[in-house]
Amino acid sequence: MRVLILVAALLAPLPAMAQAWQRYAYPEHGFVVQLPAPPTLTKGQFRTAAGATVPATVYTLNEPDIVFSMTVADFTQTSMNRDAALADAVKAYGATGQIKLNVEERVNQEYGRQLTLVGNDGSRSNVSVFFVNNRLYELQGKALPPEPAAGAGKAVRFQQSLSFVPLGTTGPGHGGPPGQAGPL
Amino acid sequence: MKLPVPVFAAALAAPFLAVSASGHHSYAMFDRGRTDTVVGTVKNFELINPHGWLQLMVRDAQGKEREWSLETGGPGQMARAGWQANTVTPGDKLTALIHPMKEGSYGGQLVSVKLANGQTLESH
Repeated sequence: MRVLILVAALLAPLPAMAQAWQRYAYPEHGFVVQLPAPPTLTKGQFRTAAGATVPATVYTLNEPDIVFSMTVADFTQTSMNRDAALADAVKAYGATGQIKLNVEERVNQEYGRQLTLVGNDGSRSNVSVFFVNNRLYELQGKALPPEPAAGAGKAVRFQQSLSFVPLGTTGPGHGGPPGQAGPL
Repeated sequence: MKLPVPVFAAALAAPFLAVSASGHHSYAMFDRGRTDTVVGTVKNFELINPHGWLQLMVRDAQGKEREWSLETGGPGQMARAGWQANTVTPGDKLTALIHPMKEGSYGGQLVSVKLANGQTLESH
């Protein structure tokens, strides 16, 4: 009987607890974001609007109601310029749904675009696109269907947490190793 | 023309001070011409750099609780306004004035809160 009670207690749903967000710094790519858990990193290719490919790194965290992602596409071996890169990125997002808001935004000293996107798949995303040091940064907090409202607040926080730091550094106050959680 | 040293130094520092004062990002996503009221229960409050976050659970029109992310001032600004890390804790009920997201999502820039004890605290 005691064993059954113990098993039942272990299987019982945990009370709702505040998920602690952490600061994650990536000196290789010169950015910092806040997330509720560490993202996974994959290397791949990014296809440009012109059909060429460039190396890319994608940081992703999947949760039941939202996908957090940051894609860093390396244009250092190309002649791509900032305005063209941002225009192509916005156009590519527009092909996946309806852009509800598209505004210029400054993060640190860098200027880019912030979008709100209602996806053709029923998702709702907060997106930031920047072109810094010949790299295209695409941050997306994608609140998933069928109930995107459940993840929408987290998408806002992810988007607004983005910081740029000098390449090779983790920014002020980050005590942890690169790519691992540091103090907020 | 020779400028007095303090004037010259101030002129040199002005661009940097301007960036510092405007924060780590601009506020393009927030509708700063509008102030809305949201009532909810604190999920989490983090008084952190470069700016803090108040995560608030708010009932929507259908009665479902939704998490709102409210950006606050930085720790220095908040301390000057009377905030401490434990000014609000999970489970506290409060009323918040916010500049909402322009596109109506569940977030905004926190303007002030009214606590259950009637105390009002500014954020920025």
